[in-house]
Amino acid sequence: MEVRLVLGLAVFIVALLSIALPPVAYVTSPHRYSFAEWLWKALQEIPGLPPMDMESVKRLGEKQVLHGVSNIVIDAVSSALSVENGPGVCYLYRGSSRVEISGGSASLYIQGGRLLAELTNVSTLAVRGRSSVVTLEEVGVGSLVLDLGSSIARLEDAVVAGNLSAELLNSLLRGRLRLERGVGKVSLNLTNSMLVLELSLPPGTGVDIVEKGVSGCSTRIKAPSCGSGLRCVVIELICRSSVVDIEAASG
Amino acid sequence: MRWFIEDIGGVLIDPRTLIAVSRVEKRGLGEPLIFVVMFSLAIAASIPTPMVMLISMFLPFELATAAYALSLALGLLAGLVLWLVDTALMYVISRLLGGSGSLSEVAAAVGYSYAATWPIALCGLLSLATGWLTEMFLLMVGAAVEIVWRWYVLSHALSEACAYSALRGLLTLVLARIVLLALPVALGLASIAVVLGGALWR
Repeated sequence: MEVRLVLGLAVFIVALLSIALPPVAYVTSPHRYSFAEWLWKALQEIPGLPPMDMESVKRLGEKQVLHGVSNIVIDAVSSALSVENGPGVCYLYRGSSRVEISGGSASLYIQGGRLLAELTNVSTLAVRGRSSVVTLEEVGVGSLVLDLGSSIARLEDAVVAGNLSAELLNSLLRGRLRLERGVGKVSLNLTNSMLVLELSLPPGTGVDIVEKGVSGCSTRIKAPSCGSGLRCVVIELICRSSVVDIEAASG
Repeated sequence: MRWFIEDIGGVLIDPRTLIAVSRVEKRGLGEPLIFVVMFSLAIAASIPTPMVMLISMFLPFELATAAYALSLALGLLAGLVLWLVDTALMYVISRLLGGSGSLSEVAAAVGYSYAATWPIALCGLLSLATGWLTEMFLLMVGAAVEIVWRWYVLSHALSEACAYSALRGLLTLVLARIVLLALPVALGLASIAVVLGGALWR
């Protein structure tokens, strides 16, 4: 009787897991991205495609720099990266979100299955998911609006990271954080409703963090290891409200 | 719940006893139906997932998700239809081989035997962590184990349900599988014959 019970229980659990886990894995698995990388490489081997004449976007996994573009639209739903008024059009990426970068120049690359963008003097960065919008507007002026909506869990792959200069970060944060030198990186992780600012500082530079908190968000300051010779400050803003306006909260 | 779990283990180890108890207690087809639904869903959910992930690269996510949901529904439907077809075939063949089981007893035997498909579900589950190429290998292993185990379960269950030897139960199963495989071929050939015949007649 015990053998039947143990075997039956094991098979029962296997059956239940087989029913429940695959749909969850389908929704959350990064397989799509690794295949996207493969697809991108395969596309590159096909001659005559319009993307191939785009000199600055050559190979996935390697940082690509696009200078002097006025508008970059990455439509992840239709696997298209179009560079308006730029050097051309190419197919790059498929996911569930849309990234729009206007003005300035941007370095785009895919790392670990995620789309990353390094921004310089970019006026507008917008990440549009299926039902939510994250807009980083006028970075150089200092306005940051997060509209996380109600379907955050659906935006698991809508992750954008941009490296910002100290000057831009200081403008963005308006007195909340003073960065004298070094570079920073801002990432918006919609899965966790989290805005993370990571600052990498050379030794001897100062950083003055004003902890006033951000309306609608809890603030956590961490100091992880950041490689040799660098200080790191990581500020996590975990936002639960639908709209967070750092400029308004910083006063 | 405990008796249900024990029945899963029981049919995998000693199918004769479960069929006999089921007949004496007049359990009907409720529990076999649950077996069919549960294990059909387990296979339908676990096996296509890596392939659907692959296909989802070419489709909008919503469309791929709809296709996935459709594959689940079709998998469940296929399990139920196969249960009915297997039951009908095995009932007829068992009668031809001298068996005395009723249609519901044969249906119960076939339905309970779905528990033996668990190796396929397990391999499908493992393949989630490996990707679709490894899944092909895992599925071959799972299918091999499943075939041996299910044939053991079904031949003994039919033997008990139809009151004849396990060898005849195995023969019933083999003949049913041959008919099941030959049926589409026969239908296709018949269709071709009808079409050609009609063309020649004109």
